[in-house]
Amino acid sequence: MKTWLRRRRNGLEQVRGAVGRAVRHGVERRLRVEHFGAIAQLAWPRALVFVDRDFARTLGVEASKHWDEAEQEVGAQPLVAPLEAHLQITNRCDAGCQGCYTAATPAAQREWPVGRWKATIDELAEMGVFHLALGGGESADLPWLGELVQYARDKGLVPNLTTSGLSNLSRVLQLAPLFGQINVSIDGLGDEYARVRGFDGFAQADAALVEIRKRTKNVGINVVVTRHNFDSLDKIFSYAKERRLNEVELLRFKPAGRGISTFADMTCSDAQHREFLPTVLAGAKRHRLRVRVDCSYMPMLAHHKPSRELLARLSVYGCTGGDFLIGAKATGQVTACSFAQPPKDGPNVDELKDYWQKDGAFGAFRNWKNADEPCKSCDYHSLCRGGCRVVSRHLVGDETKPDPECPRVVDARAKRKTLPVL
Amino acid sequence: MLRKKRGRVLAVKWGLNPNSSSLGVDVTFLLVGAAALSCATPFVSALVRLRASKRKTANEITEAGADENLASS
Repeated sequence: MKTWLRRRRNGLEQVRGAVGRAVRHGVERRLRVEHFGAIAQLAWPRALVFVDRDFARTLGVEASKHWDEAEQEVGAQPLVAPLEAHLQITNRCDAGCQGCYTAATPAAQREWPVGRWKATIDELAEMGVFHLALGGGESADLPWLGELVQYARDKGLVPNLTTSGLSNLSRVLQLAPLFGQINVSIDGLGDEYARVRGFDGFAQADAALVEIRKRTKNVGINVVVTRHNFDSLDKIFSYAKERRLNEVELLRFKPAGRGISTFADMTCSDAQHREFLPTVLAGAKRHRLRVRVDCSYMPMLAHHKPSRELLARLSVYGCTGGDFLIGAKATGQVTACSFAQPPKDGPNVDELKDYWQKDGAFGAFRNWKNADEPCKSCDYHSLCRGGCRVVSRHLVGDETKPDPECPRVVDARAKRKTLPVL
Repeated sequence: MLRKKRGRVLAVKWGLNPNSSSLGVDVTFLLVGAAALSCATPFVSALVRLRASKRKTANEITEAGADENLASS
């Protein structure tokens, strides 16, 4: 009885603390006008809130050039600017992971200096971008990382970091409070790390994770899911809970960089793709852990027919490259996402604004409505947008085609093969 | 006098994405379902309105691609 009362009292104190934080800090940082209304940024809870035009008017927006046309639902046309920019600020990295999607190497070639990245932040801030995801290569190796992160903060953007945890940990620890979220890439525990990455770096990455967690509670892990570690996801969730991490982010293996040559051996099987959502949800429930999945997993979620309305309200979309997000190479070229090749007529990322509004910008990534079957008639197409363009380009040779690893696409093709020819 | 429509929250994207290779989405909410989300939405809505009532300048409203910020409260 006493234990129950103590737990209840602790629970109430937690709720009271949360409400207090919300009142003190749970403020909207910025408000960006959109075709459908506006997006408000909350500092706590950390969220982007999409509101309709009536709501936006109550927030002080009286008119907008984006409201000339009739009100549309979220996603009906590209956002007026990306929500987040994924900046590969270096392609230097000593790790040499066998599946590295940027084929990072220890040597740098024509990489941008910090000044160009600051100009990029100016451009993105002016457009109204909310978040930055800084990656590489190993961004922690850059002596000017702190200067850039502080600059982003000064301009109102929230910088976030992915690191291997294998080098320059002291720099990450020093800068940890400036980041909104830091994730360490850990694709498996113990020997499994080596099986996925090609070298044994688990102990070092784990030690880094422990140290970063001492500096900030906003730390998690990125896990590239392959056919080799799929069965260990539950153990990985357990490990994340034990390390008191605030999230696990699961990433689908992509055929990009060195991942092109290892894709066939690493990508999950069709059966694993079908089991993905139940496995993840069961693990999240068992370990009471927050799990995020990358946009390319949308076909694997849709396979289980979750409520469309719920997905839309959670802003769960498939490929939103060149729309909700953009990428930039270490040499400054803008891309629809980190895995995509730069568009033929694409600019450098510090000149994004004009290109963003151009007809035909980002090619197939924005032209998702013009889809083949079975995507065309799929109930989830407006959310999924045809799956991962990068996987389609690699496996089918055409990025406009439906994602060939989508269970629905697999089923549709199997059915077509078994139909008698008349 | 006509009362101003209060409008509604269309979607909420939770958390921050540190990953430079994807737009991470939180699937944990699929466990709790639409009912729990419906409970969270008024709370989020109230927080957004709370800040709006405190906003003092137009600088916090971004009109992407525009030459100038538009009107504010």
